[in-house]
Amino acid sequence: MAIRPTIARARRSRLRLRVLIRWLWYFESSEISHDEFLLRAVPNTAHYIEQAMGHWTVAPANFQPDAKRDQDGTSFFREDFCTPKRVAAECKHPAGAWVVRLRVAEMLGACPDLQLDVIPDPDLNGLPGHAIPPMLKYVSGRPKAEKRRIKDCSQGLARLASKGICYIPPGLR
Amino acid sequence: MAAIASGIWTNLPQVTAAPETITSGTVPTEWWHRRRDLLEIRKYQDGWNGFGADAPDPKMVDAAISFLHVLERRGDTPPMRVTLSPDGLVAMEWQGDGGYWQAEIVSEREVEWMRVAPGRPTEFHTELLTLRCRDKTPEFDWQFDQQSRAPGVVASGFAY
Repeated sequence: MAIRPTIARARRSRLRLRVLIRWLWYFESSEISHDEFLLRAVPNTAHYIEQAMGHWTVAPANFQPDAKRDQDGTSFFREDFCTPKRVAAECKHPAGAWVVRLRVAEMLGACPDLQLDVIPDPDLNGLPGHAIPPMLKYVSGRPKAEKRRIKDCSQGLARLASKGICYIPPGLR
Repeated sequence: MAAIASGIWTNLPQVTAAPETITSGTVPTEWWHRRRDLLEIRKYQDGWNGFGADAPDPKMVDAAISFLHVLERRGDTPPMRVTLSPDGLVAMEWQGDGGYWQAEIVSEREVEWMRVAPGRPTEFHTELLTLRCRDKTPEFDWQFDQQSRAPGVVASGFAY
């Protein structure tokens, strides 16, 4: 009998060595473990990627919530469900996108003041493996202290991301 | 507090890579590049980041250009990057000695500094955006409180 994912469980993970044992029961709605990697696209522009910025090659602005897209949290994609190439293709920037890879445990450690958590947020109309940190959602009129915590978290994530560039647009390699 | 007031927020790192000449009249300076970056940002349309972000407010970009002039006039190191966040805020960034500095133009009259140094908690402070081109020292909001100066005063003869 074929096992079909229900809407609640959404799509199954990619078949990789890392997930081999649990693959049959591993859906994009499954809880995110701390040893997972998340992917995020970075538009290919000097405002967002600049080698001269060293540890902050990826700009913190890339992790700040967008008023339009991030009402529930900044978007990431679980590497167990989606490839860097697909994440890059999702970005419609004319110059393409880079993709960075962050380990969940390190993400949480980079934002100690924010009690960051990452939860699955499957979107059947989008790429598989969509995940969000709800604390990084866009809220209009946040108190200044909270905005500062988010800015500090963004620079922490940018620092991590700068070490984890995993996809470079064709032509820039 | 005294240490901050004495200019800790503007003790930006020295650029370790050889900067383009600042003396030549023909070779663009780092300041010129950053102004050009900001003017480019000013032209951004909706969807500039490939994810549908709104176009930036030209007034905010103009405020950033003004602040760039302030930094240049008071002899600071030119920013190494300017960025635009998805919610339309322009920021200038520096890095060096393991640290990171960011000046974000949060309104037409206010700049928020963030300083990240290894082994220390991240520090924030705000600076009122003024265009007093002869001033060499920063003007912070607490100094305005003490001196009862109106923010946003544009010095005569200042132009960009």
